[in-house]
Amino acid sequence: MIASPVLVVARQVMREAWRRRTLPVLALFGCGIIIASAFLSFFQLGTEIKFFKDVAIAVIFLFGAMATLVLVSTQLSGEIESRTIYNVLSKPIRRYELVLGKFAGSVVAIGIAVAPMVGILMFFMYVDQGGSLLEAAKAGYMLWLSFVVLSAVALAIASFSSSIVCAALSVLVYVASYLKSAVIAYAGMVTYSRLAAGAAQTFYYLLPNFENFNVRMAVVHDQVVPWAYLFRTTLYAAALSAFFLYLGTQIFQEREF
Amino acid sequence: MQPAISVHDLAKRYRSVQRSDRAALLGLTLDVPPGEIYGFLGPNGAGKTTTIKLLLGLIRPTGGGGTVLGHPLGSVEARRRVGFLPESPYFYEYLRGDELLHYYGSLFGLADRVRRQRVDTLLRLVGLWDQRRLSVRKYSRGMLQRLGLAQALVNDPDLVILDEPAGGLDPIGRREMRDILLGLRERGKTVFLSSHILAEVETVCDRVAILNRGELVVVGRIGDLLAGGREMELTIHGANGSLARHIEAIPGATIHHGTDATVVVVPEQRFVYPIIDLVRETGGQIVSLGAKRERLEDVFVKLVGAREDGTARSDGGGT
Repeated sequence: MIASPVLVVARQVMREAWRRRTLPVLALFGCGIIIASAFLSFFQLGTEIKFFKDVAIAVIFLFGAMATLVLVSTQLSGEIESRTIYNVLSKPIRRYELVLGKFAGSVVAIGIAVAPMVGILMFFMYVDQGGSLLEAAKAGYMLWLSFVVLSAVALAIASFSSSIVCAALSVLVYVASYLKSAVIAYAGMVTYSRLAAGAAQTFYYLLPNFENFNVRMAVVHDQVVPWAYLFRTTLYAAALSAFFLYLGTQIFQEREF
Repeated sequence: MQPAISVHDLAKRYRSVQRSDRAALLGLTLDVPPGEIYGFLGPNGAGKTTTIKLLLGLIRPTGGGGTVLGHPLGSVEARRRVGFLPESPYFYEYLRGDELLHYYGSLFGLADRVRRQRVDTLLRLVGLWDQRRLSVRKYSRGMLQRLGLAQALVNDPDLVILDEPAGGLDPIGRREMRDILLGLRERGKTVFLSSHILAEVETVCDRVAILNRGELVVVGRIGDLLAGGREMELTIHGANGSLARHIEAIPGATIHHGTDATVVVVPEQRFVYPIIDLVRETGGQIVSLGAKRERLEDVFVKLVGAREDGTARSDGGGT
């Protein structure tokens, strides 16, 4: 069977994620903390399952984001820094295929790393009769979608920067994206300048709104995440990822090695 | 017949924010005939690696252009038929030797069965069959170089571009590398070989181009470059002081006293006969006598060194 270069690179990224052991170790730690929180939550009388769900989703968010940043920020820039890029780009692969392959491999690997944590969350919810398993699965999916977008953002940054700069900038974008509503509100309160307001607006629209993927409170309080919202957020993630990947491929296309 | 590589007025200038722009290649025009081993020589910083990167599309030219196997420089179509071994190759350390070759083979779109067969053949060819399941991080420098050659041949390329292929290889490894290159030529492949080991180049190459400071200094068949000298070389046992005085009187002659013998080089054949008479008279012995064969190293030093001196002089004059 002949695989496309995108698939070949994606498989390679997944193999790298497994062999370097960073992703499995992070997933293992995450699973351990979720299991520990399941037992700790028995001491929280009356609110134990809510406490557990809250902690578990926060752990998936934290370890998933860490796994994404560690894996993706070393992809393109890692190839350049370790000079393996010469061997790859001298083969008949287009540069955008390399970027797409890195992206595809990363998001699948991250999905595989996050899945056991979501599985443990669902298992304890099932044992405790503590809410809808479907809603927990939806929360896991939404978190993974946020990691997909974060991967695209990190790859766009990696297309012009080193691994360390990529990781640092990606964290900055991630944090800023969560804080942006507050930033806009603050900018609106403290300034009457149209320029400052315009800059704040640009900032608001340029950054992805990662809050859209946060359904933690809905799951904790046994609310239903509507399918329409899930669908809309999926489209939002696809559009954002496409935009950042396009940006990344364009920048990477112009780079010289 | 279409050249394997054809570049015209190829130029590359690196832009720098902090310093002034640096010209790495100044209008290189070159045709590499197919089916030959073509040596690409030059001192450090001459522009050899820049040229190779331009051929593969790793960087873009700031002037001129060309073709590789009839396709534009750096195009996917060209790269499909090219094998490349970079200088000091780096690989994914978490992969095994055979996995690495399979990965690169997959990037060429080789079918599973063909790829397996090719990888096995190449691992045996470069002498890494027994180490194929070893992690690349455990490979020595020489083993990495062998693996680099194997990955450059994984697509059975029509053109092989090698940047310092003998780096890190022991004498046996070098000999094996030479045999592989000669084998490629026998199969009608073109080899574009950038190397500092001039004795190696002289042995295997049909033709060479010498580059210096981004400019082509000379290009031609090895035989043509090394021919044309009229100098004669004599090796003498038991030479004495009178011989040295005689040689010193001949313009352009040189004398070198070794531990066992004295080597004399005279500019023309007519100077040889008086030396023979003198050696016989003084009880010495002529061990060997023949036309002095120039080595590629001599040509290289003469051409590059002369230009370096000239540049140094003109630079000196300008300051």
